[in-house]
Amino acid sequence: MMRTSQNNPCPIVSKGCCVQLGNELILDDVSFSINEGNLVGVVGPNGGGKTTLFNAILGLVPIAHGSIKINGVDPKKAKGLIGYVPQREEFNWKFHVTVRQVVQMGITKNTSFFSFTSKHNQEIIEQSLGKVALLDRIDDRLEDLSEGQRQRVFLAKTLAQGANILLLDEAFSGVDIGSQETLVDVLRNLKNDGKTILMATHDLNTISERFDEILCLNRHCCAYGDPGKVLTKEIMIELYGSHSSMFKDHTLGKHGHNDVD
Amino acid sequence: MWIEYIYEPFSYSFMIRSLIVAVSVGVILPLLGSYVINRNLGFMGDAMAHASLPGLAFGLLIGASIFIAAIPTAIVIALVLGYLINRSKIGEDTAIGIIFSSLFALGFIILSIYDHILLSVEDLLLGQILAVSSFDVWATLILSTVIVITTLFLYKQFLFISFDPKGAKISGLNVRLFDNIFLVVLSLSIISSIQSVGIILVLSMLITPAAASKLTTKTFSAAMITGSAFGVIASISGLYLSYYLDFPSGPSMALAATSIFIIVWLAKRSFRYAS
Repeated sequence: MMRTSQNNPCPIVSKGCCVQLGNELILDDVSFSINEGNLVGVVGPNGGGKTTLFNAILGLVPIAHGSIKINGVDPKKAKGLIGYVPQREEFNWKFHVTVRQVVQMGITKNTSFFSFTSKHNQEIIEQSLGKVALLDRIDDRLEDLSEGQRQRVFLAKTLAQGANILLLDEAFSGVDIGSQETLVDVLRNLKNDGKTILMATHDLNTISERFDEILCLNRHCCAYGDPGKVLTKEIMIELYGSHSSMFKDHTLGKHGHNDVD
Repeated sequence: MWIEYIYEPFSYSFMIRSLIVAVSVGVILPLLGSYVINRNLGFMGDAMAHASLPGLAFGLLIGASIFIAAIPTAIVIALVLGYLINRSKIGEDTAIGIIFSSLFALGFIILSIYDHILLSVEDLLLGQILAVSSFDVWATLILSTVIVITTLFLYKQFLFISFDPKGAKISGLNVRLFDNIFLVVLSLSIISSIQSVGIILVLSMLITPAAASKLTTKTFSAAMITGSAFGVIASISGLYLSYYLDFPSGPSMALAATSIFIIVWLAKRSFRYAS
C-alpha cells in the first residue's frame, strides 16, 4: 500500500522511464513514486534492470524516454543527495585504506584542500560511524573487516556525505544471516531518521519482514507496494518465469524444494 | 676509515648531481607507486615507460635534453591512456599492449635511422644516472617539485577516484578530469626517471618500495611517506653500487629496492611469530 502523501514531494519519482544501453532496452516504461522515509526492496531476476535503475537514479546513464526526478529535480542536478553502496564485486577490497579514510571520502567534495583533520569533519565521521555501529573499528584497515561490516562502512560514508536517499546494490550477498540482521537494524534506524532507502535483493524469503514496500523489476515495473500484497503468483511468473514455482510459498522453511525428511 | 667510502664519491660534482636526481626519483616514484599497486596499474606503468621511447628519441634528434623531451611525451601518453581507459572496446590491457609496444618499436626504428643521435641504447634501457648534466638536475628538481605538490594538493581527490571511482562520480567529483591529471603526473614521474632507472626497470622503483611500505603501514598516507623513504634509501644505495662497482644505475637501484622489500617482509614475519 502506498502511504498517504506527505507535505514533502516524493524523493524519487519515475515516470515512464526508459533506458537503452547499446541496442537493448533495459528499462521499459518504469513508473513508481517512493515516499520519504520508506525502506524499499528492489527484486527481480539478474539482468532485470535493478542496477540500471540505480544508475539512472544516480544520473549515470541517460534516460531515453520519460523521466526520473529526485526531490523534483533531474538526477544529474541531485548529486550529493543520493548515497550509493556498491555491489561487492564492483570493488577492490584490498585497497590500502582505513575505515576512517573511507568515511572521509564522503565529505571530500564539501571540504577544502588539506582540511581532513578539522574537528568538525572528525565529528561528522565519528557520528556517521556511530550510526552504523562501527565506531570501535574506526582505525582498522578495510580489508580486516567482514563483508557485512564493509557494507556498513560504505553506508557511513553516504551518511557523512549528507545523502537522504540511500541505494544499496545487493548488500546481502555474501553476508551471513546475523550480519544481515545487523544491517537491517541499522537501515531501520536510518529510515526512522527520515532516510529513503532502496535496496536490491534476491532474498525473497525474508522480504516482507524487512521492507516496507517492494519494487518488482523485470525490464519493466511489474508491481510496487506492500510486499504481502504485491507478490502474487502472477507477479512471480512475470518476474521469474517458469522457475517461479520455487518461490510459490515464499516463507521461511518452505522454499518449494522437495527436501527429504 | 670506512666512512670515507660514504662521502668520498661526493667530492666529484657529477656525483652530487647524481645524488640530487637519485633522491628525486626515490621520492616521486613510490609516492605514485602507492596508487599504482592499489589500482593494479603496474602494466600501465610499464607501458608508459616503453611508450616514451619515440618521444625521447625525437627530442634527442632535435637536440633537446631527455628531461625536456619527457614532458610533452608524458602528457601525450597520459591523455592517450585516459582516452583508451574510457573508450576501449577491446579491453584496456589489450589496447594498451598493442599501442604501447608499437610505440616502443617505433622508437627503436627512429634510433636506428638516425644513428648520429648520441645515445647509448643500454643507458636508455638500464639507466645511467652518473651522466646527468647540471641542466638535468634543475629540470628534475622543478619537475619533482611540481609532481610532489600536485600529489599532496590533490591527495583526497586522487584517493577517492582511485578507491571508488563510481562513488566519486556520484558525489559530484569530476572523475575524468582528476583521473587525467593523475595519469599526467604518473607518466611525468615515470618518464623523467628514465635517465636514472632506465625504461625497463623504472617499474621496480615505482612498485617495490610502495609494496614494502604497504606491509608496514596502516593508512594510505603513511604508506606514501614510508614508500618514499624506502625509495630514497634504495636509490642512494643504487648510486653507491653504480659508483664503486660500475654497475648500471637502474639494476643497482632495482636490486636495492628488492632487498628492502625482502628485509621488511622478513622483519614483519619474525615480528608476527614473536608476538
